[in-house]
Amino acid sequence: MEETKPTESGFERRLLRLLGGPLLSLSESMGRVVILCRQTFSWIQSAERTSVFEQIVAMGVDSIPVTALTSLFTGMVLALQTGYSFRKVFNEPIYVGTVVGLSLTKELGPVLTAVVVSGRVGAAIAAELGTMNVTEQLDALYTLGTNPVKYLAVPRFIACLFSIPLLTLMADFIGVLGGLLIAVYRLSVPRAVYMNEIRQLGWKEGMHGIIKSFFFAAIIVVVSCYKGFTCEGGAEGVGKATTSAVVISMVLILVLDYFLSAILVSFGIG
Amino acid sequence: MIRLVNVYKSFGSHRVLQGCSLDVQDGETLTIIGGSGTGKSVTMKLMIGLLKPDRGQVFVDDQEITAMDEDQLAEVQKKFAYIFQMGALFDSMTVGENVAFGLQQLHKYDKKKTQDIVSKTLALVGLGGIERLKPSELSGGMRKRVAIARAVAMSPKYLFYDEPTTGLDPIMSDVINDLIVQLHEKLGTTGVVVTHDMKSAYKISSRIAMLYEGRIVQVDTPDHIRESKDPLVHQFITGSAQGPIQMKVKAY
Repeated sequence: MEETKPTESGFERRLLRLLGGPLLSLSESMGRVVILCRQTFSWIQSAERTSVFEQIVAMGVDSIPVTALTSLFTGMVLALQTGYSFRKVFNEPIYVGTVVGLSLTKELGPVLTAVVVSGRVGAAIAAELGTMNVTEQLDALYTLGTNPVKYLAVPRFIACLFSIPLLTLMADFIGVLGGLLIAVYRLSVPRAVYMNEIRQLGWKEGMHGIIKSFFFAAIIVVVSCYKGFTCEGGAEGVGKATTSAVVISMVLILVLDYFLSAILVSFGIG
Repeated sequence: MIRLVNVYKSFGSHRVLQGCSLDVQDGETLTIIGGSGTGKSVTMKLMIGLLKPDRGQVFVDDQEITAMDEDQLAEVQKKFAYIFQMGALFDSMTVGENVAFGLQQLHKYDKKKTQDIVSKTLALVGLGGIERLKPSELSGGMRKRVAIARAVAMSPKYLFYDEPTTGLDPIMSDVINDLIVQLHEKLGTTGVVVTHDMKSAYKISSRIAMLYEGRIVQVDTPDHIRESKDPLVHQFITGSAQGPIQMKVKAY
């Protein structure tokens, strides 16, 4: 019996030529990210406390003003829009506290905080590590007996995972406070009614947002460190690495937000 | 002793080293010369394990570093100190912190001992008392000397210099050359230098190796290199555009 050889059509060859390069590059990047994560986790316990503290100040404390301002106005606009919309439908601004509280704690608090921090902190990490890379400072660390992942990525990872959930918690409170200001002074909702609606929120709603913020923090720090460590080509390369770190982090945060929400809801959290 | 045996290294489709073999003897200063982009710095980074070869072996004191894991390599790397082309000083630290970095991270010395070594090594390179300055406040020559101080402070067995005189004026270049010679005599370290500055190469080297198209074409003393009959070496050391080495110039 004659053996038939599988033949490759022209279409398959063209498809391989078109997708082969990008797929190889994507697999390589994924592999490097996994190695970076493995190294980071393996060195977490040996992180220097001073470096971690410095990073917490740089990432967390210095991000307080911008996060507070963003969440305050988000809470205010949310209360305003809810109040006026519900007044049109129900003739009075009802459920303002419930809508503001639920939206902020479950979605807007964690997502907006992560987006703001990825713009501020993610860009700073990618630019700093990228500049160190193109000026051979990362190689210099190796020659001085220090692994750059251990010295640079690990303290940033711990600081980010510590700071972002706390910033999210703060954003939730300030957002609710912003909503209260508008509800009471603009929409004439009694303070007790608004606060009563806020008190109806359970711990599950709060946890829903806080759990998501841990994942968002990990995305920001891993993507930014990876982009910084793999940056090439001088000042232009640093610029590109910084931009892509922020864009990729933001897109991943928004995409992952849906899947995390679905998973958490299915587990009855929030 | 450092030994490269039949080493190949490519970046994408660009072949840099194609069967490069070279020995660095203990106590000598070996200078690798060659045109821009011929792989001189790559050769040096392979010697200290910053890059891994695609094929071939690299031995340091008879230990094959190409077969080592990260921890074993880190142990061997304690014998090396590397002076980068642009210094690679850490921008966020002062000069003193830069020089102290390796001492604290690698040797785990206490604060007092570290400060003593920092002061001594900065004085050794003629920059005593500048511990508090930031790298951005230094001139090119000072940055190079601080980078040398940072490397020397580690008391390495092997000192690697990547283009130590590039970007410096002729007088400062000579100051750096003198410093390299002095350090070699005082500390007895083995030096590996990458440069295309022939004046510097003649002054500081025990031997000179010429790298061309991924291979070493000649290794000899500075006097023999100066009188070399090899057309590649002769063209390079005389800096002539005419000869077997054809530089590709993009036509615009």
